Amino acid sequence: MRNVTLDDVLACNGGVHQADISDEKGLLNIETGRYYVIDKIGSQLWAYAETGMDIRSIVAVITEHYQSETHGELERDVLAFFQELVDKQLMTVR
Amino acid sequence: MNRYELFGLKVLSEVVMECYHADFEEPDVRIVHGSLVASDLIDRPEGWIRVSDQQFWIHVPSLGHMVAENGNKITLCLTEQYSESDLKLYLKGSLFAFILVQRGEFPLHGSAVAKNGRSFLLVGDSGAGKSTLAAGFVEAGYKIVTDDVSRVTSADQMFRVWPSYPAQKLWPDAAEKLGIDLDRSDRVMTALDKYYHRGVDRYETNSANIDAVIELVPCEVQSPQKQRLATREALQVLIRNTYRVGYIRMERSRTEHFQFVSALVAAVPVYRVQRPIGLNTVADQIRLIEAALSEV
Repeated sequence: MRNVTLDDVLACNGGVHQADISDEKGLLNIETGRYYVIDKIGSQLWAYAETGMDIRSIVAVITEHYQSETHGELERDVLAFFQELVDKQLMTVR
Repeated sequence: MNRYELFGLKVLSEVVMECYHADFEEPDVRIVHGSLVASDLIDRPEGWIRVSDQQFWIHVPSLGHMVAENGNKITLCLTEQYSESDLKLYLKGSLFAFILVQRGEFPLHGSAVAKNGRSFLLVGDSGAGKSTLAAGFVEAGYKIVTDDVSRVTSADQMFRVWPSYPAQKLWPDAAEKLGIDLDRSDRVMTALDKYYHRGVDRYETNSANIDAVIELVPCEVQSPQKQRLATREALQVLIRNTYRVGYIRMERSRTEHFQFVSALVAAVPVYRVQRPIGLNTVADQIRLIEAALSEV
């Protein structure tokens, strides 16, 4: 599996369908037949990714909202989140 | 020819069904006797089902062959000595549920009860206690909207459940616990020790807005427990309890089903009620559920 980096721009995988459920997001991967739900924070990160921002820029934008975390921790958490989406074939690197 | 309204749809039927009578010119669904031709139509002692895009074929040994197609027609090719009770069961259950699926809908497997415009959908595995709980709700002044198949439709982010027919299927011991006298001649199915309980005032004839979905789960607990489910678990419950969800295979249907259950979860709270195995706690379950509604 490919490792996600800060320079990467991610996009929703072709066979994935989205549904907004209040401030969360439901995802159906048609190819694997599996359903997922991402929470409010994850949904915001997903939305930023879909605008074409690279992960470094996404971290910069949300830094203001998560002042309790160090920059390093935030980067690590956001990378881990997107890595999981790629591993589950929900997003791919453009 | 008989004219009925079943799940809000107008049905013109050559067969007598115990459903609400209706008046209309054009039916939504026709039920007719006919001869069915298919190259691989065979009889098997255990029966069979075949599902394709717009056809649902079912062979039941005590009945014959039946097919629901295009969301608007059910054709019956029945054996000479067919069982009337078995026929009604399949017509108002599986066959009609597939008609709804063919019309682009996703019926849920569960009962619905309503009072003063508020209603609950009761879902859960077979044997979870849904029908018993529904009958208990009736003792508490509610009416039953539907007993087994729940047709759920949406408009403007509100979800409604539609009335089926004025009968409920009960096991003898459930009826006994609820103090209900069963007519033992009114068997649901020849092979099953379950009976119809009728009584027009127990049934709601209008569609009702759904206020909550309740998943009933028998558990090793001392007393009934309730828990509001988070989105992910709530989605799982609705997917699991979609009527014959295993048959939703085509991509278009899977994504439509996904959109439907997602919208339902976004609009309606889903609760899990764990009930003690082997104890009659219907009154306590009802109290818990009503309390949940006042939190909403």
